[in-house]
Amino acid sequence: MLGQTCRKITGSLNVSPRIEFKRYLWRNSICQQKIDITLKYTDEASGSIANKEPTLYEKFLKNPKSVPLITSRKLENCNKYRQPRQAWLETLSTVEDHKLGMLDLHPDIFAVHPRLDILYHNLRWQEFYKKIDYNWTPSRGDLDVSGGKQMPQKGSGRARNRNRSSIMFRTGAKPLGPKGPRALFYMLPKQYRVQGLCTALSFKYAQNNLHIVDSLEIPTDDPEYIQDLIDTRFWGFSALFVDDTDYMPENITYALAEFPSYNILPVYGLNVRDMLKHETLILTLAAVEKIEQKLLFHSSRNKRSSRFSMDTRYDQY
Amino acid sequence: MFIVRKFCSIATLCKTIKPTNFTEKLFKQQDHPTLCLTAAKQFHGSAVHLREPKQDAIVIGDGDRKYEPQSPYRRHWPKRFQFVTSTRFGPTLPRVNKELKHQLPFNYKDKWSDKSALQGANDYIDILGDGTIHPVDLIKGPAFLIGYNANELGRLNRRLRFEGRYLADNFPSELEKILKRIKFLRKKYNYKRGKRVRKRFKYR
Repeated sequence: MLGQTCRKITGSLNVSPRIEFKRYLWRNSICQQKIDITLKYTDEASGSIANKEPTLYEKFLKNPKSVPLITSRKLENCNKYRQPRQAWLETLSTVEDHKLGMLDLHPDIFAVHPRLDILYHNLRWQEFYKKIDYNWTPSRGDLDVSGGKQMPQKGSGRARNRNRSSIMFRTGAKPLGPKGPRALFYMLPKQYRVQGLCTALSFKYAQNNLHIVDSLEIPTDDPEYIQDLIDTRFWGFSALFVDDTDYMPENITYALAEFPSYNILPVYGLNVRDMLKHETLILTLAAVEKIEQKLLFHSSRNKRSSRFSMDTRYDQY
Repeated sequence: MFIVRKFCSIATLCKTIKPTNFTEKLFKQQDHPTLCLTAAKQFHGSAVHLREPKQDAIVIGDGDRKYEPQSPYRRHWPKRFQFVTSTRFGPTLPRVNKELKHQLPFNYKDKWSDKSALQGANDYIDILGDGTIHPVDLIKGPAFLIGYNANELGRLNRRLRFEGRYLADNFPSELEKILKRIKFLRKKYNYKRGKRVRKRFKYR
C-alpha cells in the first residue's frame, strides 16, 4: 500500500520522464537526434515558436533598463556565517563577452573545502564499478582430457607423468589463474558522491573555469561561431555545456557536433570525471538552480528521512 | 760477487730512467694505446679507465722524497696505479645504420572519441535525477554479475540460480564442470583454511 502511494506521488511529480532519458542514453547518432528534434518542433503548435520567451540578451537589446544589472538569487538554507560566492551572468548570443548581471552561489556547493581524497575516491569508483573482467583460465577439471597415463612409468628417459592436464605440461592447466567473469562492483556512500560533485564544482569556480549563461541559444548554425566565441573568451581547448533538460536548442547541437572536445550534457549526466576532463564548465541558470536544489536535498538526507521513498529499494548495494 | 754484478747492471739502467717520461705518458689517457680504442668514450663510458692521482699526491722531487736516490724498484707513481674495470656503462647507443624490421604500427589512443569524452556520463543519476534510476542499471554484462561482487563459490552458485536450467538443457558438459568446481571450492574454503592463509587457499 505504501509503495503504491509513493509511486503515485512520484508519478505526478516526475519532470523528466523515462522515455526521454532512454532516448538520450541509447541514441548517440547525430542523425537520430536531428530527426527527433524536428519531429518535436512539428508536433508542437507552430505558433509556439513565436510565443517563445525572449532571452535576457534580447530583452536587454530592446530595453536595457528592463533587465536588472544585479540579479540576486534566493539561496535555500544558507548558513548565516558563510557568505555566498558571486559569479557573472554571461551570454552566448554574441561572440564578445557581455555581462548581464551578477549572481549569488551557495557556499556549501561552490565553496567547499578542497578535499582531494574525495575526488580520488569518486574517480576510482567511476572507473571500476562498471568493470567486468572476462579473463578465464582452465583448471585441471575444466580440461577435456582422458585420464590415462601418457607414457609408462619407467623406460623413457623423460620425467614421470599421468594426465595431459597437469601443470608441468605446456598445454596443461593454470592452477591459480583468473577464474571466470568477475565483477569489480562496489558503491560509494551517497555522501561521498555528493561531496565529490561539490568539490569538483568548487574547484572549477575557484580556478575561474566556471561560467554561467542565461541559455544555450545561438543565432547561427555555424561551427565557426562557437570557435570564435571560445577563442575570444579564452575558455580553452575543451568545454562542457550543461543544460536543464534533454532537449537542447538545435543550433548549438549542429554547431558542436563537429568538435569532439566541446560536449553537451543535461544535469543528470554531470559527473566528476567529465568535469575534470574538460577545461571549462558552462552552466545555464536553470541548471544551477536544479543542481543546488538536488545537492542540498541529498546532503541533508539520512536513512530516517528516506525510509518511505523509492530510493531505499537500492539499499542492498 | 753476484750482488756486485747486479748492482753494476742496475746502475747502468738507472741512468736511462727518467721519471718524467713515465708520469707524462701514463697520466695522459690520449696517448695510452688501449684507451684510444674505446669508441664514443665520452658518451658511452668505458669499461677501462685510469685512476688519476690526487692533487695532494706526493710527486717526485718534492717533499720528503726530494733527496732520495732514484731506483728502478721504487714506484714513481702512486701505489695501485692500475687499470680499473667497471661493468657500468652509459646509456645505449643509437641504432643509426641498422634496419628496423617488423615494426609494429603505433596507434595513438583517441581520448576525445564519442565513448571516451563522456565516459562517466550518468553515474550520478540517482542524485541529480528523479531517484527512480540507479547507476547499477547502467552496467552491461551477464545478468548474474550486475551489482554482485563475491568470491568464486558465490559467483558459481549465483550463475546456477540464473542459468542452471538453460545449461542443463543445452550445455550439460559445462554444467558438470561448474558442479565439480563448486564441490572442490566448498572443501577448499571450509576445511583447508587456517589462521595463516597461503596463496593457494585465498578467497578469489
